[in-house]
Amino acid sequence: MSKTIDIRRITLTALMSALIFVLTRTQLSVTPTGGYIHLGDAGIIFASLAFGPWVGMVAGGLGTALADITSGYAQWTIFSLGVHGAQGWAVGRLFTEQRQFVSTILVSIASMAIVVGGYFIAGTLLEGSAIAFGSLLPNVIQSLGGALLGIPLYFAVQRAYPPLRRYRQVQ
Amino acid sequence: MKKAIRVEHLTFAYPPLIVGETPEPLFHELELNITAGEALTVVGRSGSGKSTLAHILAGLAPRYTGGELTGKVRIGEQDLVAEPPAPTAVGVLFQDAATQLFTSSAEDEVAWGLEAVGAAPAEIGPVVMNALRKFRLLGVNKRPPWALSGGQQKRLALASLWALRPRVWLLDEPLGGLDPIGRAEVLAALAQLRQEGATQLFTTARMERSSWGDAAALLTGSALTAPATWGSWRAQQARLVAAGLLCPAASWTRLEQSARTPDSALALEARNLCYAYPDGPAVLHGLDLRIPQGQFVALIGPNGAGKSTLIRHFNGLLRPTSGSLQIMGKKSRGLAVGELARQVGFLFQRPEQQLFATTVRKELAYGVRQLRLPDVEERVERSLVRFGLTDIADHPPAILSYGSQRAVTLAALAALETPILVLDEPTVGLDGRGWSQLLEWMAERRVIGTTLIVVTHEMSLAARADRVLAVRAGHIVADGLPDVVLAHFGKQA
Amino acid sequence: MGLILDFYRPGRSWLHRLDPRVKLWGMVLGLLLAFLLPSTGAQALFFLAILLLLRGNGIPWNALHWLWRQIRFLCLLILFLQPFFTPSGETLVALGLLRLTLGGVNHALGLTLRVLTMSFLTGGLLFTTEQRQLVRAFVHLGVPYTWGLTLSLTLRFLPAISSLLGTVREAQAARGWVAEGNLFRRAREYLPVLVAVTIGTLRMGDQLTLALAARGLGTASKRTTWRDIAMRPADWRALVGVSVAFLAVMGLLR
Ligand SMILES: Nc1ncnc2c1ncn2[C@@H]1O[C@H](COP(=O)(O)OP(=O)(O)OP(=O)(O)O)[C@@H](O)[C@H]1O
Ligand SMILES: Nc1ncnc2c1ncn2[C@@H]1O[C@H](COP(=O)(O)OP(=O)(O)OP(=O)(O)O)[C@@H](O)[C@H]1O
Ligand SMILES: [Mg+2]
Ligand SMILES: [Mg+2]
Repeated sequence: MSKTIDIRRITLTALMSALIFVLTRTQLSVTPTGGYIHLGDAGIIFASLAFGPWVGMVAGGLGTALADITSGYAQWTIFSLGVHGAQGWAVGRLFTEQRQFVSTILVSIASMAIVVGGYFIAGTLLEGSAIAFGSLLPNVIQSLGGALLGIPLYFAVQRAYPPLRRYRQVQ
Repeated sequence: MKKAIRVEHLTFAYPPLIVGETPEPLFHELELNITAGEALTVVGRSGSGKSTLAHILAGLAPRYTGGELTGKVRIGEQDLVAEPPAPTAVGVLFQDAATQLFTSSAEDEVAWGLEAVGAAPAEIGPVVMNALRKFRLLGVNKRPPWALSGGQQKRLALASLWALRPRVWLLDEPLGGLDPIGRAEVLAALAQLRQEGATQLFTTARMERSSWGDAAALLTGSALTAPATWGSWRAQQARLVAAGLLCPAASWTRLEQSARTPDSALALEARNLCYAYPDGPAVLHGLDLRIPQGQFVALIGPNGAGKSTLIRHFNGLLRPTSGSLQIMGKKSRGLAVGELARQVGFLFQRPEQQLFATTVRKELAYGVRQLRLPDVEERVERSLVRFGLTDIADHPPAILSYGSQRAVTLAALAALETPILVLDEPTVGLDGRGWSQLLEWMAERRVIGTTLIVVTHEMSLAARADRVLAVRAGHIVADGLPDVVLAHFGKQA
Repeated sequence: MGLILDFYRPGRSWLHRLDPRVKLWGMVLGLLLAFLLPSTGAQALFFLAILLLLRGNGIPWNALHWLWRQIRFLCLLILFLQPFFTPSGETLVALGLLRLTLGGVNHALGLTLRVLTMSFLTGGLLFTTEQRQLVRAFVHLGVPYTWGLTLSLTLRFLPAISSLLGTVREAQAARGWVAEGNLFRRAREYLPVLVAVTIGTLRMGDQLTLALAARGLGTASKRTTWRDIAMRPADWRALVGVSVAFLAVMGLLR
């Protein structure tokens, strides 16, 4: 039986990474500091809520890191891997089906704190304090929007596609 | 005679899709015997379990899908319930070959299976080249699989199976979604396998097109009938129609009789329409086209000719790079996609991918609401009744069987009641009943004067149109009555 | 959308033939160096060296130009904003509270060059290395095969999911879907598209599971590899070369 779970875990992680990549490259608007607002965070939140911290961590980190490399923002790769990996892990960890309302609020706050904080530190190192300060607000919007979209996405998929529960075992 | 496949008392049920429901078993006491070297075709409606049967015989279900299985399943001497078959024993061609190919180049694809079974690295190269040569893929050996045509993808999947020399081949709708050229290519490859003495099991959803294999068995009522020759099945038309495997002649007649003289007003008018994708190739080179309201036009042409590109102009998804396009007398340039959507209903290739709502009813209401059309409830109810969906109106559409999902997408389109309908390859993957439903609906719409524009690779459907347009390499190369155009261009399209 | 997913530019140059492990090592050292170089002049020299390395190994201008186009906006922003944040040294222009200083400009230039260096270094690796070779390199460096497989499957399915998103978006648009209005509205409008794409992705995953199992993933106790990468003497020399060069520069800096 262990082999079964192994393959499904590989495919699920790979496809969630790919989905997060594609959503990260789906731009809604460009921010004044040269970044962009995208749908990637919604994908990370979905993957973590639906499949738990480990899939969330790997898919979140890998998907966004690859998106950075292939968009020419290679300097960000390592930081995205770390920040979004941590985000995915924390979201998956903090969410419990039993106390949905409280834990979704907790999840949104934690996710925002990790992303905004992480990117501020990384930004200061990489591109200097000016850009890092300028990116604060866009990052707040980005991660808050991600939670506001990712959480409803999870519940909508669950209702539109009840077998979503089956993938749970994969964790 | 040595048996290659032996199935006895097979009963199988998937785990419930909705927690708490007990699903009906998909198969009940199913029996199947295939002698080594024989080829059998399994014909079954959409959702009857053809793919599931192939997955069971490949040892994949219930091992990787979940579900309950009882009974005996043997490939040669091996008991599949106890242990999965080696990839060197059974090769399975999936219905959707594109997801079966998962490496980054054609040659890696063939090598992957050999690597997985631990073949010596020095022996892999020659086998890979042999397989690519055999399936005529040498020219594209470095290409990523997703950049291949549908026919090439199927052949690559076959090549990567062939490299492992399985004795038993399971071929799940091998011709699905291919244009006539792709079909001929795959058929030639399959015939070759046949000569090598492989045991083959084919599946298909429709009786008409399939004429290979020694015999056919019907998958109905959760079991297989005894195999019989093609000739004897052809003599039982009524039974096939009742089983939903053959489109009744009455539906065809109804479509033919729905013909009416088109209006003089134009539904669409294109003048010197050119289109090039941004950073991409020029695809359409100056098309002139006038389609009167109420006409039924079939668009034919080989893969990549530009058919989909052309019709995506009709609902504003693409705007001409140069030239002009008028829809119902208005310039398309000035109209938003939302406004156009009220005039032009559009069925995409693989429409089931767009299903998202929590119930069928909401799915149908979505478009009506978005377009702010009046009488939402009435339209939805009419459409539900028309397509026989009332029983499942409260189910989530995404978990329905493929056939029902297709019905939902048609119903969602029908609810918009647009004066122009554009359908992009609407018949792909339909069984006999699906065909019948589609043809009857088209006939109904044609009678009330809806303009029908249908892209198709099915010449039988194109032959019923008022007019056929043949597109090739971005030009309209023929435009006229079906008899005339199909006589010249029917073969390549 | 014009997504570029595979950067590899086929070629037979020295950099192309170099073992990907050596290239990875070189890139890590290069990135480290970009952080450690103290002066703007040194950063400029280093960037120039990398440009020469890439051009000398047959990477066409248009590839480099593409990289530049991606980050030029960011570079300009750093150049124009950063000096005001970190003023130091002689004042060039004073605008009220804002002071444009020599030190500030120098600092901003250094930062910009570093961003360029990092982006072009990574580009150098990706332009000259096939994806499968890169994955092999990771596996040889001790990453488990299943992780390597996960990475290659991710790369393989990017175009599939990207086109799934494209078709679903078009299909919903044909039913009157629009993403308009302010940012939050636009994000919410995306829900019907995202639900359909997510379900499609999960289905694709199910199919892929079956495909991998059918082709014998995990059947043999030991996988073999066709055309595996191997270190040649030239690769070892290059490995020693970059390491020594790195240490030498570090020595000079002290
Ligand atoms: N993993 C699954 N879990 C639950 N139900 C499933 C699963 N896969 C398929 N089904 C259901 O089982 C039935 C048979 O599906 P299957 O794909 O085998 O049909 P098919 O005959 O191949 O149809 P098609 O013509 O659409 O290919 C369908 O009703 C389908 O919804
Ligand atoms: N988004 C796109 N960007 C760039 N080129 C494209 C795009 N979509 C299609 N093409 C190219 O335009 C040409 C015409 O494609 P189109 O999809 O219109 O063909 P088609 O006649 O509908 O073929 P099929 O029968 O395969 O559906 C092809 O060469 C294709 O590669
Ligand atoms: Mg099937
Ligand atoms: Mg098309």
